Amino acid sequence: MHDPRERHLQAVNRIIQYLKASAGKGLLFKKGENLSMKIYTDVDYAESIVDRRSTTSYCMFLGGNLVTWRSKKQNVVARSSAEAEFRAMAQGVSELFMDEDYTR
Amino acid sequence: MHQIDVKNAFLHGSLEEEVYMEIPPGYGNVNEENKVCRLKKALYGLKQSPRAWFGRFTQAMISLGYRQSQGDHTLFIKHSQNGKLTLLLVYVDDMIITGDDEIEKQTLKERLTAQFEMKDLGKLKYFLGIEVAYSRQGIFISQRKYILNLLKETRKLGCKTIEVPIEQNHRIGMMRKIQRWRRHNIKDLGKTHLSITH
Repeated sequence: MHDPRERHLQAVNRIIQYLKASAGKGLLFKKGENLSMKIYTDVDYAESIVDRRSTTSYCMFLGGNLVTWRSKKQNVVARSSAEAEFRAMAQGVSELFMDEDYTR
Repeated sequence: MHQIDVKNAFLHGSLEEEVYMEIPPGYGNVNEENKVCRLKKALYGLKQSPRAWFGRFTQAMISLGYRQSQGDHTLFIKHSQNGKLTLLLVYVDDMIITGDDEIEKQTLKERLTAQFEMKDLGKLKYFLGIEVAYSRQGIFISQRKYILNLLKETRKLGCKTIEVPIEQNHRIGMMRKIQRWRRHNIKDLGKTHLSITH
């Protein structure tokens, strides 16, 4: 990491405390669900006060089971919330094509 | 879901380039002092080895009728004639086999064992830090063991717990960016001031 400071260590320690509390948590893949694929996408528009970029998030369900999810700052400045939302949708849908292979 | 691993995986790869090594101690005669050996196959410690092994393994899977997924190159897929599906996922020398085609899964294991030395680890229990538990309802995965090891390594087993992983309105990295911005703009102010006075 570039130029690590005391603040970063504090943040890491906080994450460790959180992990200890959530160690037993996990994902349950239920039997007998159908294989219909659903993707939910959302965006936090221009949320970064440093560079005004938006944050994409999406999650994908196969039947009722959560399979993959992501939250990532977009790498361009969206000039409207519609543009930001569209970018999130596009990113989410590209995940669908990745998994299409073996659910056919 | 079954798990298998390959013994001495990196010794299976074949080399594309000429690679030489010094004769290991205890092998060379006194009159062969200036000789080196040329490798016929990959060895541990070569930078080519991981790629050579993966290439060799991919070839084996393709010759068994599997297709490499384009979304994840470590996943191999086979649709049988009867519409059933078999999947294999590999991480270096660890693999998971799953699917609804029991016969194909068994054949796959046998064919791989014939080509590489394999160890059958039975039902999938632990893979890449993820624990797998089975119940009547389905399959439950968690990283409990992985987290406990992390706590042990960082000597934080006794730390207090917290429900939110980051404090509200945290400012990591922000302060420095703002400081740099200020410094920069003050410099510019100085320049304009100079150009005005001259």
